[in-house]
Amino acid sequence: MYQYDEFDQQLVDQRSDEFRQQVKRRLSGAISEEEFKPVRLMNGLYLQLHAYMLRVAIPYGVLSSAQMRKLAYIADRYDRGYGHFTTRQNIQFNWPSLVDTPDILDKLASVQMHAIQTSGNCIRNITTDPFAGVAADEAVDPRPLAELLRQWSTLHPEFRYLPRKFKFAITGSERDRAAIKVHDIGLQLKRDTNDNVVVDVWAGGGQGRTPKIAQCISKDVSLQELLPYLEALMRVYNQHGRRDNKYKARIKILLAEIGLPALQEEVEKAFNIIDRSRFASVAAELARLSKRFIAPAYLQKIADIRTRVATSETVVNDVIKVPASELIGTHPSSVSAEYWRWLSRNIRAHRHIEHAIVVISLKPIGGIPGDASAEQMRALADIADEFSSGELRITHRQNVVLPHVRKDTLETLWQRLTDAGLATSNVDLPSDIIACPGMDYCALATARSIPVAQEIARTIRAKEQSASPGAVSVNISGCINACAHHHVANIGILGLDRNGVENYQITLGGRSDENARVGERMGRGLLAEEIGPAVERIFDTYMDARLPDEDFGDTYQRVGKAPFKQAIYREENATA
Amino acid sequence: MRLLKADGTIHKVGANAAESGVVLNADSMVNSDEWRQSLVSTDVAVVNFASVADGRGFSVVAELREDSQYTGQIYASGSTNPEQLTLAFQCDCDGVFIDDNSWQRYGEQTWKAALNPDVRHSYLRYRWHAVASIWEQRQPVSENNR
Repeated sequence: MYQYDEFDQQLVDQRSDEFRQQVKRRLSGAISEEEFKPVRLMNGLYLQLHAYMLRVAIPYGVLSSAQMRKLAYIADRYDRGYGHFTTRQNIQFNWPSLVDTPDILDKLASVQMHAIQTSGNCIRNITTDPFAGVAADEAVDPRPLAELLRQWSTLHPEFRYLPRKFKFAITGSERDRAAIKVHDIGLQLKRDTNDNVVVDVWAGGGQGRTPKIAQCISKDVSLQELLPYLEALMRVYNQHGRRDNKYKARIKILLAEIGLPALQEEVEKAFNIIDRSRFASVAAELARLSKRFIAPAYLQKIADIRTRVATSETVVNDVIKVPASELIGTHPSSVSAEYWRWLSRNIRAHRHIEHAIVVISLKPIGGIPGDASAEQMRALADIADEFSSGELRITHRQNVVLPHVRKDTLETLWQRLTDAGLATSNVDLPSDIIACPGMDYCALATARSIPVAQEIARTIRAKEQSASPGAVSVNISGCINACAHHHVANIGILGLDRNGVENYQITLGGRSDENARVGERMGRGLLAEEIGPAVERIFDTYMDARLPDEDFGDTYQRVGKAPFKQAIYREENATA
Repeated sequence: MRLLKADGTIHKVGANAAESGVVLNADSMVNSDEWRQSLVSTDVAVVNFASVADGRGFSVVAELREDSQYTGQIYASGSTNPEQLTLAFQCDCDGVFIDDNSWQRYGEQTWKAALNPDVRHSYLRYRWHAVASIWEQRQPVSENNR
């Protein structure tokens, strides 16, 4: 994990002090809410439906056990005993009081954390593959570049007042677990024929009211040229992005309006003007950062992981599913059904033969997706210390990852997770739902998300356990801002208000992986109580049509919309 | 009207001082050919910020400074606050015009503090006060560690 040095620490401490003064001025009435708003937003503090909400950055989703314990402390001391992990690998506290927020930022700074640029029209938290550095299929570890970009974008003077918020995601694997094609900028790290790391830059992806899949704006950019190139791209967006309508202000709209060739030309012009001497220290810094990501000892023993992965017979090509028998080396009948289910669903392929990546679901059936109580956070920290070299990751799908688990400790780990209520075996199943806070918390929401997600999970659970489906993603957003990314879910649900009644539209076939695409809208919206049964019928249709080992997204693309639409509106079809 | 300069000095200037030189409205003339043409025969460019939420001016200032075809002075005017004063200097502005209303609203002390901050750490290099960036300061350390 990256460890702050005195410069990082000083910058975060200074920012925390500054915010304390700003809050003091607001509380004394010296500045108005209007003046305070941009200041608090730059520090992650929103005013929500019922209270302030503080969004804390978890850079590229990596957390130490000490940091997780501090989050638990904050949840207990300043909130209502829980926190909510988000789709951008952050955590949100929903009930802090304004007067406490400077103390919270101090506590965060004490464990090398902050809330800088987690909101506002600036570059937000850099996200990446939650399996970075340990995935079996990884070509390049994206974490050093993610940290470089975090530092570059932190308090960047030129890009603090952009037309709109701006989100980066990076992956170093061909299999995209970071959803790079639905971000403002997505970076694909790879190796060229000379084994040098190069970057494909994707731009203009996004969700919200106008979902767009990113386009590749530049291929094979060298690491030396990457920061000047990104700075040029940001500069063009800052100058040309629309500011007359906030719903048309993202770079996806600029790209759609002027087209890819024109955007490429503008960026090229800006790139040629940029003073490269400002970036003279970047190569040395990237090398330094790479050394500061200190791998646990077991990984350091492998001289050339990539070579080993490429030649080893143990490599699992499909990292989404690792046969459980391979992990435990025994016949299923020798283990309990619950443990077997968990092994089958929550384990992913690791680059090291004796280790596994463990995904801990934060989607207990009937629970609130992405929430963790302070008690669970402390349990996660203890478990990370015992089983995962003290390291955790937060995923885009609002789950937690243990990246360094020895396979021979899996059963003990599962037992420990079961005791903590964290052993739900549903990763990448329909009940592993992404849900936005919806009308229960959010001032913008037009419908409830959480109760509907809970009902879907309860409805589908028995069926998803008895069947052996591939990956199926279900995402539910409570308004058209699409915070739960419903457009790119296999089964997307959008809650709207229709004359005072909550109404839910279904989109199918969306995906956010390397084959990203926007889902297709089905027919009329459904009432809240109709959604669970409809998802069940969609699932049945998938299982009927599915080829062996096929995930929902592939089945849908192969068979098309018709049988799914027919299943959703089955009763109407019967009466028509 | 006051002109706060990157060297830390404050100058009282006339009400129309921000209109001297070539005024570039950051919200309407961004980086166009017309915009470039207007700079050919001047050594003072004033970048006018449309509102505090509109950050186009920062990119205009930064790009103008990096464009080898323009070697004159760059000032900022229009809507700004003390935090943005720092940003403008980091983008390599030579000075920022502050109208009387803004000067009084935030108070002399706040403006002076923004003009002379205790710490100006940033990861990337900016020319303001020639402070070495964090990345530059780290380099000798990383060399020693090799």
